[in-house]
Amino acid sequence: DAGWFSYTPLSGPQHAGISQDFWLLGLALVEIAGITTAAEIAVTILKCRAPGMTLTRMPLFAWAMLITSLMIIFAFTTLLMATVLLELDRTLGTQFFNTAAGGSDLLWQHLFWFFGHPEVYIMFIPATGIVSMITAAFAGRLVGYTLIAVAIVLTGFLSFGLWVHHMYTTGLPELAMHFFAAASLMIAIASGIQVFAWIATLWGTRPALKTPLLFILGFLFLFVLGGFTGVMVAVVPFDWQVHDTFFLVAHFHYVLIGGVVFPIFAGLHYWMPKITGRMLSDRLGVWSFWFTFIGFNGTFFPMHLMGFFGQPRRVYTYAAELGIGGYNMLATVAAFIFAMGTLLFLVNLALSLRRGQQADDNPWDGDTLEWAVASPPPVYGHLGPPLVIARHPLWQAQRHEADSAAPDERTQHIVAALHGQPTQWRGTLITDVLYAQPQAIQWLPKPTYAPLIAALGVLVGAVATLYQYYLVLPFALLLTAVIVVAWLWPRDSRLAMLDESEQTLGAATGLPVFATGTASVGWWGMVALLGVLATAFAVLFYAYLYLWLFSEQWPQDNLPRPGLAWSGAAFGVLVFSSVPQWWARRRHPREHRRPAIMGLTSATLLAALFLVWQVVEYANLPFKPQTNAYASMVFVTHFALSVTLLTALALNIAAIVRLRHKYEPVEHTGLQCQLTSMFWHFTVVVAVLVYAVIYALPYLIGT
Amino acid sequence: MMILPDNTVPGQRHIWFALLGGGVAWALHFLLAYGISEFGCEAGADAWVWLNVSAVAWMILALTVLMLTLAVAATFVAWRLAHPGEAERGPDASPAEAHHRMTRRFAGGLAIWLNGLFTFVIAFQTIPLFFYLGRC
Repeated sequence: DAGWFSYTPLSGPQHAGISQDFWLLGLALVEIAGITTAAEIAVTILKCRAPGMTLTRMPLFAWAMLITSLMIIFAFTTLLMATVLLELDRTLGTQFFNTAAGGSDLLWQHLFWFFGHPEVYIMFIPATGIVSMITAAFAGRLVGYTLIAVAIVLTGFLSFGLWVHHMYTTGLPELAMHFFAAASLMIAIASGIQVFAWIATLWGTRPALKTPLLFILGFLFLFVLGGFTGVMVAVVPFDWQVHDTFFLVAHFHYVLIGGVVFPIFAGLHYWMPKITGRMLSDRLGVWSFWFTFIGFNGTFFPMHLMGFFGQPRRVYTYAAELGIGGYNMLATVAAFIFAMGTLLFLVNLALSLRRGQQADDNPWDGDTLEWAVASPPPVYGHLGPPLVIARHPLWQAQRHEADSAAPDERTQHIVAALHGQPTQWRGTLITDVLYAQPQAIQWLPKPTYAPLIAALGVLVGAVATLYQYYLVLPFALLLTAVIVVAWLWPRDSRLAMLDESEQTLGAATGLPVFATGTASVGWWGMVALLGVLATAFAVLFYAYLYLWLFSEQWPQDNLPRPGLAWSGAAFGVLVFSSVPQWWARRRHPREHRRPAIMGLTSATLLAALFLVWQVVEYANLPFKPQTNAYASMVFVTHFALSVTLLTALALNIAAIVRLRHKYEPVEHTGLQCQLTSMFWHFTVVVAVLVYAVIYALPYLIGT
Repeated sequence: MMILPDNTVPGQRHIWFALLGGGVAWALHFLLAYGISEFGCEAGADAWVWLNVSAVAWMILALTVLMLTLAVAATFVAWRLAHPGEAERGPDASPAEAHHRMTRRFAGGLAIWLNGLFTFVIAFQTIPLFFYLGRC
């Protein structure tokens, strides 16, 4: 009902129907799934690389996926918070985006586009990874590895500084708009570095013009065109002319189809033989490419002109006197040609699966490790961790590699010991972030239905929320929580098996099976989670300050400022709980459990006291969340803090339960206690910020 | 029972500063400059003027100097990584040490380019300020 960007007030409670709630709830779940996947990919790339795969030897696709994953953590969290706030407006009557009650439509736009612009780079950066891999394979070399890595990191950062260029026509201060214009121009440097590196890679070589490379060449042409129009619309006065016209439609299709879809087609043709063990037909692939390329340009190039001649976006028709009927007809016909290209690919895929030529292990003479296993690969991938000593492992025997270095003995010994091991459980090697030196052996879970059942619980809860059967929601969430805890709770049998492995495999490799700190993937996962929560609270604080900025009075409507005395005492109790929590971690025993149990219990009780105060305070406030935007912000920020604190309490209780389990060696609980403490101290820091922003700041700055 | 102590690979903090310092400087500069311009202009902070430059512009100028310093510092640390002293230029003690040196030099080289570009971007995106020194 309200477009993919869902601007308020059209998406607010007065206008859009249940389809809007469907979109918001569905998007929230997809965002959570995306964030957790991103954390998993980032931690895997950082900690589970093959031994010897230092940062300088990491494939560029891995660089791309690492940066993309880190971007997702910040961008998706922002959208998640925005969708939650909008859904609260629609279902519970909060006022975040209702200007009549002190909210702001522009707040939605800021939050959405803070996600929306990085999102297009989240789509584009993996595509650049694909381009780098395929270009190198076909050229037989890679020029500019370091600069491409620089460009990927630069793009990842700069993409967060562009969002207001989607809002140039909303009347923002000119100075602010021009900061974003400057940043929008700067990001072209990053893209330009990569394009020149790819051209340099191909220059002077004689690559075979097979289908993957054709799509790469098509990408280069189309993405550069899209990039040209991108720097045009980065300029504020030019954007004012073409905003909401078909010129923008042409621009983003060139960068998204040219810049993302073409590399995807290239990647499909390149990697499908590895996945299925059968080659795709190159003849059909070439036909598919030309239909796609010609059809795409016929569809979208005329849109540049249609936009200049005044055809608006988001309107289903156009005035006949504009004289653009011919361009529209051309675009329509060409779109069918474009569709033929995709159809030909699907036919190619179907025919390949039935009677395609058997693929070799390395049909393209690629340089990276996936080509070292059979096509299709066995279920275990590599039988032991591969040892990497060059940037292009499969070329190292054939060609001169400037960065080859003999592996050290310890790593060779570990790799040999892990060949085909462990056998009783699934494990992988943990390596350090920079040097990829082995640090530990990580247990991996077996296949299980638990995540599926947990996801079904979430689905039931979401559908119940959609149709406002709120009584079902707590039961659905409880089911999910119980399943997840049961899945993750370490069984005694597993711990005993790992203990035994530490005597055998651990002794053979010199590596621990139980690791803590930066050697543990759990530590990095917790850092990712804290990054998500920090972003979520940053969004809330930004929204609070933004709404304050545009209000004539704060708190709005003469509402009383929150009292400082009792709240100061309560927050003080919560801050103090960090002391026993820290002491528990410090005393986390090799032999004695009691001090750690006492510390965790004390911290838990202090936090529980704070929660009781919070409930009493908020039950007695002279306003409700629906009163105005100020009230909505205060309630939601406190609710978010409460949920975070309840999670911290649950983690503490889980740690106490495990510590009290006398038959479990206390060393097993080291990581759990460490992660619990990290979460606890983070919660306390957030609480201090909540106190500073919600309670103290109105007194310091005045109304 | 083997427990692995934290931070088993020592001396990495300066590498992380070299790799991330410029980006963090850019991010802080950009978000704070946007915040100062949006919030400061809306709140009328450009009404206070000294030497024909508004308070908003002064704050952003000060921020720029601070963040450029941070980015340049990161570039300097990166330079030291990529161009090590005499001790690191000697023959490698072991394959592991050769491995570490190579990685540090790569990280330094990458970080020089990264921080250099971030320094340039911070300076470039401050240019609009000079057209709005006296007013928003």
